[in-house]
Amino acid sequence: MKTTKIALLTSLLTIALFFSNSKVNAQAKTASASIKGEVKSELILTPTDVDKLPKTSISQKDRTDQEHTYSGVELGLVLKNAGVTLAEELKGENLTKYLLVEASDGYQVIFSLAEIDPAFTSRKIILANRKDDKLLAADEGPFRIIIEGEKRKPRNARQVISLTVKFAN
Amino acid sequence: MNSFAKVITTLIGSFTLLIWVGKLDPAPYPLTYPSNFGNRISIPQNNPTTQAGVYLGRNLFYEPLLSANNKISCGSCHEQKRAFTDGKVFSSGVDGTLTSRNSMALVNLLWARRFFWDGRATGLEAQAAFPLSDPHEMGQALTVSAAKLRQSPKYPILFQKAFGDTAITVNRITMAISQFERTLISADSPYDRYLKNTYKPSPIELEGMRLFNTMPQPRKKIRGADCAHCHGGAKTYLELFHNNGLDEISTDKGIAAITGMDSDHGRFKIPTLRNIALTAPYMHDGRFNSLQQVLDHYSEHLKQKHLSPFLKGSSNKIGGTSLQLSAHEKKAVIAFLNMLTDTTFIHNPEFSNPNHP
Repeated sequence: MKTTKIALLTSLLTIALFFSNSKVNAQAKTASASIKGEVKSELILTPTDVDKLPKTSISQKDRTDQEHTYSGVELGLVLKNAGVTLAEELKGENLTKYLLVEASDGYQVIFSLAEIDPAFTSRKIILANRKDDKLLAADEGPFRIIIEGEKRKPRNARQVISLTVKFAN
Repeated sequence: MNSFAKVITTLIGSFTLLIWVGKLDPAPYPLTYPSNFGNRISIPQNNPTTQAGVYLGRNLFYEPLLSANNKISCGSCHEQKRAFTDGKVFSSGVDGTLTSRNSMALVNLLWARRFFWDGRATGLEAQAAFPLSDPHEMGQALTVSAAKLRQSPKYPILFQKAFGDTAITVNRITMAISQFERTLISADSPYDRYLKNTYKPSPIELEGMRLFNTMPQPRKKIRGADCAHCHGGAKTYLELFHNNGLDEISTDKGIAAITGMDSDHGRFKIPTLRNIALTAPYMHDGRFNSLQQVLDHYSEHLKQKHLSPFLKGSSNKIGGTSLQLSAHEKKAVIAFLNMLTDTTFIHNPEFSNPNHP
């Protein structure tokens, strides 16, 4: 009887562990971007989270000259929500901070904070989660950087998974 | 010289030798490289590259005592004459089994930050621990390696010179090997000499170089192979991870096995093309025996399902799904790739086995 109880308990524990691991794995597979580094609070953003924020859109042509409308949140707002030193705080040594954007393929680009801060510039840079109203496909998302009026576009990083604010050395 | 003078001279000589061999030798190892390689190098603050550290690391790199059967060293799968690869599809470990991936070239690691085909190790020190202790590679716990080295007559003094005392620790083993690996700089190929205006490429090499660096734009009648997209710059190395269309469904999931992300399926580290003509077979699973086969793959056989986005539609034909290079263009690209062979590097005596000069 005792053996049966132990066996039952072990089975229940195994099942519970299996489901808890499945949950962890499922969470790990949700595409998202982390906002970290010189921030007051680290954030994890999913494409659904971005839909709940004020949206902005930018149209641009792809390499086959097809025009697409990308929509998402202004990068400045994302950083503001994470408590990055922008606007009145963006002075002195804070002007030596930069944003490192990293994609899942290892691609990296940087922006100075002043390039992103709407208090400094009227040029929009967005963290796009949608293209022509549809969530970005896996080969472009979860997020793509879109820069208004950028003549050459290698900084329009695809598959963005992290935004890290750092001090220049 | 009378006998008293001989005794004094011998004593002074012995004393000097004793101080010399027993002292920490902090002389930095000069890491020299062309300015166009850039200075985005990775050397941890706690492991500066010193002459004594590099010499110790070189000895350890070729030391079979670091393997469970005392027969395999790092140099077994990373032979200098093959730009530190082994010419095999997969390498044999101490237990006789084969590795699951192809041995990677050890070239210009000073500029690398993530290691292995799946980038799982950050920094050379972390990387070095894997093959040493993997049961299918050298198969020996680092603590056992440290114990074996303590019994060897030559190592305590080499550790003292490198680190200030004779302690042989796990960390010091990987630190010294990393110091040696950072010195493996290849920067004297015909391509380097061309960049310094001391080598005149042949017409076909120049054509290959142009194709290598050009993105195809068939609508503008611009032909290219766009290799530089991932292998660009003077180092022909960018630290990127891509799916290059080898399989629709890859049996080896690459970095997806670590991240769990479907978008990472079949993604592997983009290797340097330095000395690429010496490092066959190619790809993470060594499936291609020749550069011709590699060019044929990019030209005609890219599998689309998980292909990295920049490769989708990259073609010399409007609507094409692979590069569609001509036979002559492939020959030209291969001619350029051969310009990346650095014979100075593969014959540099500072990189060779110190026990077999």
